[in-house]
Amino acid sequence: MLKIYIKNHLKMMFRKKWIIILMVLFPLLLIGTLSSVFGGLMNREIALKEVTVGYSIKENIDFPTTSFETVFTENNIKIEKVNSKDKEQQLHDQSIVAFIEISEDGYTIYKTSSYPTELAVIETLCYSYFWQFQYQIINVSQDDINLEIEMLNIAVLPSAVDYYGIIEIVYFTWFGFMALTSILSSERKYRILDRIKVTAVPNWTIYLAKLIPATIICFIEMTIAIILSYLLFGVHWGNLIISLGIVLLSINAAMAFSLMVFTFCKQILMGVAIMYVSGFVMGYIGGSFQMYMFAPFNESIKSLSPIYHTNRALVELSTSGSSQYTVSCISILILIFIVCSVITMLKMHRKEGVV
Amino acid sequence: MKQQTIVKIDGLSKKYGKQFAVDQLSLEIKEGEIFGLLGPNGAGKSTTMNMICSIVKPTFGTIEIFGLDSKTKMKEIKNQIGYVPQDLAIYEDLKAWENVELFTALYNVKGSNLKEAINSSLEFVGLSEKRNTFAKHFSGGMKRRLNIACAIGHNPKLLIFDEPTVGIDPQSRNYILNKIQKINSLGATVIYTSHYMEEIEAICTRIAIMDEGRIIAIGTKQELVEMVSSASNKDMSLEEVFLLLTGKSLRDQQ
Repeated sequence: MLKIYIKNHLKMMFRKKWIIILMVLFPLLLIGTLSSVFGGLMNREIALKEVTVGYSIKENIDFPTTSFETVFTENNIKIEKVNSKDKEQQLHDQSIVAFIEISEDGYTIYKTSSYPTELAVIETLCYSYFWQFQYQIINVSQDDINLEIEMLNIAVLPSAVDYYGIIEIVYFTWFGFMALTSILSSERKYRILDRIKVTAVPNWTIYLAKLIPATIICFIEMTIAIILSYLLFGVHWGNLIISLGIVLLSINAAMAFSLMVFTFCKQILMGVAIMYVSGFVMGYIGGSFQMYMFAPFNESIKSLSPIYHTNRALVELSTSGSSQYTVSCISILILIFIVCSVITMLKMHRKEGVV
Repeated sequence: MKQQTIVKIDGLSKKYGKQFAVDQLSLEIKEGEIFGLLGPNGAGKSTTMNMICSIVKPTFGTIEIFGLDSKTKMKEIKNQIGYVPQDLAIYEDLKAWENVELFTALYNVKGSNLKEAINSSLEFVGLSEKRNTFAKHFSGGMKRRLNIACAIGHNPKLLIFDEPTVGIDPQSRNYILNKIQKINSLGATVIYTSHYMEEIEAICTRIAIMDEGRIIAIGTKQELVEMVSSASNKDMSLEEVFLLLTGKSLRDQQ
């Protein structure tokens, strides 16, 4: 029963070709427009200039220079040993932008006022490295020192194309409900649900018969958009399997949310308006138009938007290969799906309801 | 042979706010009947039909269908009911056969039985040749026929028609009425509402006239005529009986 119900809903959704075309084209248009408008600005803000750092070690210290140098070279910063006596001259000549003097008591950074962004990165790298170094010296013998070299997020920010290429797809997952509107509209206009309620079909079947095909259609639309964004703009998605999984979860949560909204709205138009406004607000605070790192909201407000968590997880997966937002993103999307589904089912059960 | 009671309604009421849409309604519909429900606008016909179909929950009273209590055995009851609503409850973006497939499958008809049901339903309403046409391209009469096809695929024992001939030409209406009689002759009990007196008169074996949520008269056409007519006027039409019983004032303006 459910299979045939889903199959026929899928057919109806596929027959609304203009909705499918628009759902593929709109994100591509936004990716193209926003990445070209903000591309110059973002690249100027983000790209690190090629700089060289000098360092010296006091002779009586046994220090793992190879791992220390790797931390910098892995983050695209040149590093070379410099005689401590020459540091001032070299800083003055700008052949090095900073000089790190390593001693028994720790380290000292000598720097110029130029290259503030690069210097901030160098300071962060030093802090991270020596924190780990000190920890391992305390806990293990000198021979067992095995420092973990970490790629820092600060040095691998996305390009405008990658950023907008990812977040516009996320944004449009919240508008996948468009495929549902023609079915919902027919059901309300011709009171088809009255006929369905005369059958013994349980409410959860009616619910799933909409949720599943709408999710499938939107996932197909977004996958096509992802492929085209890669071919047209060269958008990088990092781990494609995990990223597609998160996109699918986002679509699922968005569909459950929209079905809940439509259950409470007597008029389809009202439901569509609510969905557009809520999608826009979530996208606005979640970084769909202005990069989330430059958005004028504090972290607690941004965290309210599921789009923000999804954006951060996917952008960081693309740039760094991992993200601490992955867990929160997945948890929030699953929570939205469960809560909205339960509310919708209760509403359908309570009030001779409609979806 | 004693006819089995298919629908037994006892003290049925539905209250919206302070207003009773249906008030203490009791009736029995026997197996094999075409039972007509007549009444002016707002008489409570649709509410009664909706309660029988379990679209609307009664405020008081009981409904037994096939001897089963509708409150506790609705699932079993529903599988044996076919409902043809007044609205054209079909998906316009589906082809004729797809509409029949969807609505018949909702009654758990599967596999080859489902294919057979689609073919026989479309053939029954004369739409076999149009099976691959989208419903949106159908005329009003064809949509009405498709509306019926979607309700008969699972061979229901009780068929409920809520004004199934609204807005169609006389040929289509005649075709549909013949088909309803045919369905009845094949063993289904039919409940039928319409504003067209001649339809009720032509096909119904028993008629109930409702007004203000109550049944004010029930019986065969002849019994209704005898109920209201004088000895000198035995040739009254059903419409005349109806107007005598319910009055001539406009109900929409009350």
